Amino acid sequence: MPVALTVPNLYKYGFLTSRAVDFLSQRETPSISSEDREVLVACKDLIQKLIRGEEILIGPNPASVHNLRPDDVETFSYFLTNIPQLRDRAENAGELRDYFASVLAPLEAILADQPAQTERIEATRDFLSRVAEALLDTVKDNVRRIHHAEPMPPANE
Amino acid sequence: MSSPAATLAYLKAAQIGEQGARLRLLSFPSTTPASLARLVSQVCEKLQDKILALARRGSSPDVERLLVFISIYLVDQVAPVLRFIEGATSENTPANLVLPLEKIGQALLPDSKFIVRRQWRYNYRVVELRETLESALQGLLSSKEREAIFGPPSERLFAISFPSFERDSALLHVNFAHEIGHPIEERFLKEEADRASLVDVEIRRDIEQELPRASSVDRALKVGEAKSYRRVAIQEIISDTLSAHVFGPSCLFALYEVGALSRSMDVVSRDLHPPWRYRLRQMLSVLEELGFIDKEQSTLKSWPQEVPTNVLQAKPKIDVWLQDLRAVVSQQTDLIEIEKEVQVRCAYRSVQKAIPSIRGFASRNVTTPYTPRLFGEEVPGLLDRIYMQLPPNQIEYTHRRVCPVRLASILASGWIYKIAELTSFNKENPEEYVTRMRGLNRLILKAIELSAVKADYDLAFARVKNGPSEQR
Repeated sequence: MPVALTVPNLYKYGFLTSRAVDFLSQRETPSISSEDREVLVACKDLIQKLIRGEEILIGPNPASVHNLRPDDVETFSYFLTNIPQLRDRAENAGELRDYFASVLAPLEAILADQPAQTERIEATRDFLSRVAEALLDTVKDNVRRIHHAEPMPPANE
Repeated sequence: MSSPAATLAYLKAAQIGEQGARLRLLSFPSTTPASLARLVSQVCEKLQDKILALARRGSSPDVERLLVFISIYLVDQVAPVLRFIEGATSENTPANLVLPLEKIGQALLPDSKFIVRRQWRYNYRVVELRETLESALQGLLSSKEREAIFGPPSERLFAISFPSFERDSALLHVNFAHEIGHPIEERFLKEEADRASLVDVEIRRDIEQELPRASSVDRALKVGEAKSYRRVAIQEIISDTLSAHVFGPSCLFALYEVGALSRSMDVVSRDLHPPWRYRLRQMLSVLEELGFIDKEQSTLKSWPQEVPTNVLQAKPKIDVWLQDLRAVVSQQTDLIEIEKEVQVRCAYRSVQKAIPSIRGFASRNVTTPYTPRLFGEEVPGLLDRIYMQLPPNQIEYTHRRVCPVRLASILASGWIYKIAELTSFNKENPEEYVTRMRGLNRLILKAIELSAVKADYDLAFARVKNGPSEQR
């Protein structure tokens, strides 16, 4: 079975991460609007989902692997498959988990109206940008595949 | 000047919105397809506003990417909804059946709306459209903006598709009840998810016993696969069981006819659907439990003795059909297939354990079920009308006492006539069979229409009659 996110989630996360990247690119703005806050909270939730899903890779212990929420594992597996940098980090136990924690931290700081280091914001922006690109590639592929596979006669289906 | 991405996205939104507005003007058997067309236009208008706001901010790679996402969402998710609307016109659907089916759907799922549309693929299927469109937009529009377009979050809209050339095959449309059952099964799986760890633990233990030497990763993968097999099997069995509560024995007749076209009666399909033989066995067992079919004799119960001769003579023919079916489900070839792979057999062991809860769930969720008593009271009289080439829409006890009947009884009488009189064509005159089948379908569709008109009339009449007393 191929690793896949549900179609609404592909778009939902695609819109969210694209908007978050856009927001993080123009951080000169001192205040954060309620709409931007909503976007950042949703991105924070996505990263936390990845952290939970990552347990399928390294534990904490084999028994609890079975109790993981299916959508957490599905989301994590999708990004692990589609973002080569995540796969590289997953080679070393614990490195991926530390990486997720480091990209989460600036979002938490911004949401708590606390200062965040520019380099760390840049790393978070870079990660979310890779996520958005991976999602965009998938939806483009889906559109091509669906159109290619349209049954004959296509007129009314 | 706006960027190419903004221009493209804006144009797509405008074109799709316009097409939605045009489709709204077509003739539909219910108001739901036109509402869906309006929804498509509203989504497009909102996205045009968003695109314009982004274009006004000026171009940047991040904004461009968002605009490309919007374009693809429009093409991939919004535009395809138009084909559901186009396929739902009065001309493309069994129009007289649409409203009664919508009523059944709304009785089972009060917060939902339904559209019935044709498709070219040869199957019946159900797709949720409203929630699907909305949840993708969660990343783009605020909850306030979404609610302004989509209304209350609880409302859902299901499109039920049927094979295009079967438009007038009224009897086969019994399968709609199965499709309406699919959204309801989510409740069962949700209820079960609250105690999901129990199911997980059971499957895990089962897999561990089967594969004591496998690594924990291999076992985890098998557990995952077993859970997928189990989920799909449970979904299908719940929908079959719910449809048996709604339409009675007709579901068995229709399931058998659709199953006859399957690749195999015994294998779990590529999309994890249970073997047809397995489903038929379950369906037969449900109908026995509900009292429609005698378990020992494999015969129809609730068939009165004092009926016209042709109606009386139809009964043994149905009993022979049921006994043949009993022979089909008595073969264990599907169970042998299921036993072949560890993840499949563990899944089906768990499914088997869930059968009593599935049946309890189905009884709780169909508040006005079709019963053997109604079947016995209505179907023989309706069958007599079909033999007289009259639409089976009512039972005339006397010329002054005419009773409308259930949709389930109309369909059951049609199926019984088909099995008793139209099982095979005459090799010398095959066209006669096609003509007679066409005639039967016309009678059934007309009966459904007349019965619905009578029910509406009775309701309106009662309202007028009781009006003054209600005001008092």
